[in-house]
Amino acid sequence: MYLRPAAAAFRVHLRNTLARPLFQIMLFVQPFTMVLLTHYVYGHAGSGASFYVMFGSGMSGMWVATAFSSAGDLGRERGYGTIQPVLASGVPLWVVSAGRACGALALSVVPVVTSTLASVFVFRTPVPDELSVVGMLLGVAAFGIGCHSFGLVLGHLFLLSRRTVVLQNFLEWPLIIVSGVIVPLTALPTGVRWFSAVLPMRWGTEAAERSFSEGVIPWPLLGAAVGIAAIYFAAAVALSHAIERRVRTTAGLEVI
Amino acid sequence: MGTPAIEVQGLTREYRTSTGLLRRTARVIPALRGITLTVEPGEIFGLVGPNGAGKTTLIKILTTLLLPTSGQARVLGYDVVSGHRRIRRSINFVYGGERGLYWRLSAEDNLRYFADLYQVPLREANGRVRELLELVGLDDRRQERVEGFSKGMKQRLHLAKSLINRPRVLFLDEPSIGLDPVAARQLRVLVERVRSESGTTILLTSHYMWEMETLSDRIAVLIDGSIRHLDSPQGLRLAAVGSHVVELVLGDDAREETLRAWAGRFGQVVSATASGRRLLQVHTSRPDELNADLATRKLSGIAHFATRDSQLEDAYVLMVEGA
Ligand SMILES: Nc1ncnc2c1ncn2[C@@H]1O[C@H](COP(=O)(O)OP(=O)(O)OP(=O)(O)O)[C@@H](O)[C@H]1O
Ligand SMILES: [Mg+2]
Repeated sequence: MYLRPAAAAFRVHLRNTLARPLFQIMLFVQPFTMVLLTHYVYGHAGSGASFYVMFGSGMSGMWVATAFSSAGDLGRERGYGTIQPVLASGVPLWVVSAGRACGALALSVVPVVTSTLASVFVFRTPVPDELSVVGMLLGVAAFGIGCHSFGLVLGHLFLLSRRTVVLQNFLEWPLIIVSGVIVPLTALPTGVRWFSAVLPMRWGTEAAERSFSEGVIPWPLLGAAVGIAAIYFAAAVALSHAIERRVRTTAGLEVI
Repeated sequence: MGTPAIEVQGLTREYRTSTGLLRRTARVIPALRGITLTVEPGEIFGLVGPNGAGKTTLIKILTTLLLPTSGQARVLGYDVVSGHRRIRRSINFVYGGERGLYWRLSAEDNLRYFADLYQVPLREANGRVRELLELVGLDDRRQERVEGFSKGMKQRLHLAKSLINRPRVLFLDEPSIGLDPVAARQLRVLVERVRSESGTTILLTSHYMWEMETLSDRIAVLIDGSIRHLDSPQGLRLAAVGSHVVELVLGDDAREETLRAWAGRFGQVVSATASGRRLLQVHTSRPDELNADLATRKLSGIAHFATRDSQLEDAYVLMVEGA
């Protein structure tokens, strides 16, 4: 029923984003510099670390593009004053924000592909023989779905309380680290590992990493990633309803 | 008669704000203090009143964007508190100003987006977008980004957006703000046309009394959150001012007190200045008598005088200043 509004939000997101020069850089240039970094950090560590060279930069790019830019987009919608007319059309907020976040997710495939190609063809990163391509793709997709729903929760939280926006800049890198895309999950301190276990992205990362190094399709990990993402998505929907109620009682989005 | 388009009963709304950083003191601002009114289907209903009177607040409640504090409001028979999803599909609005559009998108893409949100049937959507862009005179700039539009052009785009779902009730909050005189006139024609072609009920606010007078079937004067007067523009004018205003431009030698006393026999007298000259405005429904009397007496100090029909603006000024 809400497919068409969501698809429209998806298109608007693509148009809006591609019109922003900063984002073009983030999408097309940043992956290369990131690969350069991971190459020099992990390049001597042998094929055991290849995953982080090949996918670390792309997946962190996916994280930034999906979770953070979609959180930022909701803030910008508030700035433009477009949230009210959108709500007034009778479409729930989460439909529109989920549609936009899908747009962000689709765009974020670009850094994954460019950085992987760069690491294979430019830096000649060694690839394990037993790698499962299907498992890899599923793992990255599960990671993306995790970014999508986690980003929705963040975005709606930012809307609900402007104070949480300060968190935005502070959270970006710590969350990349605990997602395990740049630093191996096993290298994290135990306490941090507990925290990362409640993040949907972390399970996608592990699934991708296992497919890469062991050549298996780790269904339980994929299931955990998607299941936790679903919980976050439900939370985002609940938050969106809370925002709509808040807006109507306090005129919260009026004063900008 | 069927269901009223809008039905409001004892509606109030308060805003809570807090000031101060360390010692937060909460303040309650009563924006609406018990509004009751009914708007019939197909009516053009005007809301006028000074800044901060509560016009926008009332419209926000009726468009379901804000909840009332107490009282009842129904739009098309649905309660604004519980029936908001039903109401939202069948109404639309313009809030004057430049915000509320995607500046990085073209005019056409903006409209198409709202067509999708309102689920305008796919077969119709593209045609409808073109038709509306033509209607507001933006057809030749439809592919340009909104960020490059002038204030008035953005306002026109808002207007086009507000018609995308063929609303049964249309709320126009200062729709003519920023429009040039020709565009403002086109807006008036458009509003009339929307009503006559689609039978749309329209609730309108504007600070331009001339516009309100020509468009509205009835007008409510909202002052400090309460409706103080509600009548046709004609009725408001006659009750507050009378049918005519006689303006007496005073010469330098004029004895204002004497003239006021004389003119006071025909109606209310208001002092004013225009182009640096003193002026007495006589609000009267007996301009002929006044003129005849003026001709027989030799009153000194009147440089010249003129009689005109009273206007809503005369009435508005009296009602607001007397409040
Ligand atoms: N979001 C808000 N928070 C706190 N107070 C508000 C808010 N919005 C409006 N008010 C207050 O409510 C009162 C009515 O405001 P409203 O905007 O409805 O007036 P208005 O008649 O539309 O005025 P104008 O002609 O200037 O548009 C004002 O005192 C205003 O300060
Ligand atoms: Mg207003």
